[in-house]
Amino acid sequence: VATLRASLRRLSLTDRVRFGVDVGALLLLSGAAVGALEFRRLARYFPFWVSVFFAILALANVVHDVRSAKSGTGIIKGDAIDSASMSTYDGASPIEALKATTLYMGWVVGYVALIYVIGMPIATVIFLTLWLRRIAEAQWVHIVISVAVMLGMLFGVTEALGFRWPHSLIEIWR
Amino acid sequence: MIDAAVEALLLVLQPGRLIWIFLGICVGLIVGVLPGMGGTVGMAVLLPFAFGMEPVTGIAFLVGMAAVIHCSDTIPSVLLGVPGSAGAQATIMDGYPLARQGRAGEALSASFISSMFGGVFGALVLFGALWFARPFLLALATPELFMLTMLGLSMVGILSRGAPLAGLISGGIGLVLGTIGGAQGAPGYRYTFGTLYLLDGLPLVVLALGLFALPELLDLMVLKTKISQVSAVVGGKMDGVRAAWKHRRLVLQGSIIGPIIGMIPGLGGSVVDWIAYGAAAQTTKNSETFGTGDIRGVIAPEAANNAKEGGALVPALIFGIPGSGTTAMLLGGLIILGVPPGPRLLTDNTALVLAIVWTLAIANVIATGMLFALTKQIAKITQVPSTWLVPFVVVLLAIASYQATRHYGDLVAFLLIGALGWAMKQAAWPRAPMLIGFVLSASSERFFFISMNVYGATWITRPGVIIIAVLTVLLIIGGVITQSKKKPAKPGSVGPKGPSAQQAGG
Repeated sequence: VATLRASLRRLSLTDRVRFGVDVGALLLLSGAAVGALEFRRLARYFPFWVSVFFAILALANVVHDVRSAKSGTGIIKGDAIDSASMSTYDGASPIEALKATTLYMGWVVGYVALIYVIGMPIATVIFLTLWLRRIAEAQWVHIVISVAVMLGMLFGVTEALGFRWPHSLIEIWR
Repeated sequence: MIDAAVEALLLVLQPGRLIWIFLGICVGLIVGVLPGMGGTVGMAVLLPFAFGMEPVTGIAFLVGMAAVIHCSDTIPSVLLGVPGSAGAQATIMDGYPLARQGRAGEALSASFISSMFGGVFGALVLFGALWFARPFLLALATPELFMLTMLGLSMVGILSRGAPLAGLISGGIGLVLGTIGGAQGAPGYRYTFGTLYLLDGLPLVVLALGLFALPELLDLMVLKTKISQVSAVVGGKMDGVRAAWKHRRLVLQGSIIGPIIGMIPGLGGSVVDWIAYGAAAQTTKNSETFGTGDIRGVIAPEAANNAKEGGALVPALIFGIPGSGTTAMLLGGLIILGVPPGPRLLTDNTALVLAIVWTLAIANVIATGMLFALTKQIAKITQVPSTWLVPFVVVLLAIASYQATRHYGDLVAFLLIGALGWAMKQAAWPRAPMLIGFVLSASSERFFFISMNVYGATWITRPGVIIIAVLTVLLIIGGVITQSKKKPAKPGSVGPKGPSAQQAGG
């Protein structure tokens, strides 16, 4: 275990994320297989056998990762390296990229939470205004015009296509 | 026959009808541009307006809308990396990297031209199939349908660039995610965790938007760049036309695949673009550039998803069997207009059926002309800085996600899947196979379930099953050989490197 831990520490952040996703896939598929046992007989077959089959593949994948980590070669190899985002952030370290991603994900989560609390129109106004002011560092006049245009489009499309907006805890404006 | 076709053309070309077709086209183009919407939504919007119309006008209005959605759904796929509709997912793989290389104009115009050809070809296939397809469709029983879903799943390997095992597992997770909700062919719910939201399963729109769009936006923000990594939009309209002409074999190939898959009820539009994409990667030389901004990866799925519309109408018009939500609504439209759908539709309303064929072809040509004129302006979106673009796209995605089931869970699921998609992207896990597995999960389980119940294990010996199985195995072997022959992609400042390159892995 100690050797494995040391090997994993030597991995790059991209490889560590990969290892985490691989282990996550194994846990997800194993959980799905176990969960499928509770279903009725006919409803069980497909999810159970599919989960079991792919959980075995996921286990093989994790074993392969561990071997690669122990041998000192990276987990992500060949063409796949080009596909990994973290290996391609030019000029920023992966840790910085991770922090920035968490920050922007926080903005999106905050927006969705705002929608839940105060409803879509006001949440959208607040989200866009704050974003454009703080992140885009836009001038107020541009912010007002942009938000007004977006709201106009929102209402127009909603009206024309019969869209619905989520209910909110505080129904200020629907 | 020819007389009837000419008569139907004259009916469609009457100015009063052309105006309605044009209105339908405009709605179809708008619906296509809005991420996550699709033909069913468009039909739902237009159906009330068709009420009371003269049948040929009403149906031309509806078909005009449905015919062109896959022309404009390319726009968000190419410019934002967000699938405009379920049939435009594969276009992201190369369309978005092309936009990042400043070649959005080329990608869009190539896709519009391919779409137009595919749409017109699909109409031709529909015309021919109305007279000849009945025996073929009757020969397809559930075992063959099951094998066709397996054929679709075999595309998983082709889309797992450099990570075949991860690709397979990703497809498997997609299959499992597809089992959430009501069980197929048996009473009971699965993996709902006691929530009402999951009773109907995870919506495809939410999965596609979360898996592809949110990670892309996050990476754009981290890099604080424009979608296009070069300072000007290079590659104009004519480059796209030339590319479509140069790769005309792929256009034709996609146009043939589209109607064939479209004809199969229940298999449908969500997978046809992937099959066409996979087939293109399999059958072309130097396919290692697929997924890094290869125009061929745009042309093939775009031709196929438009051509599919003609195929999807074959079972609907011959048997009255809707192969998709859109065709189901269209049949509903026929009923509203006082025309009963079913096997007698063709003999009793020949002019109406042929008017549908003509509308399909004409709508595609008009829509392409409209889009083509706007290509350069549309492509300028890629020059907008991400700090300005991203918040507006986030709002759009939130609205689009919520329309899936109109439950707050859509938004939560969008965030969770977005986080999963982001992790997969960072870890070079192919995401496209997950979407394919998800799309094919319900149909593969249903067809397998029925096959076992009706035929027992003997369904494996059916000639159709064997033929499709051989085809599937050949595709897999071909994929393995192609992968093993591939040279490593050359890294460059734009293209394989950069966040867009991940699209290769899905």
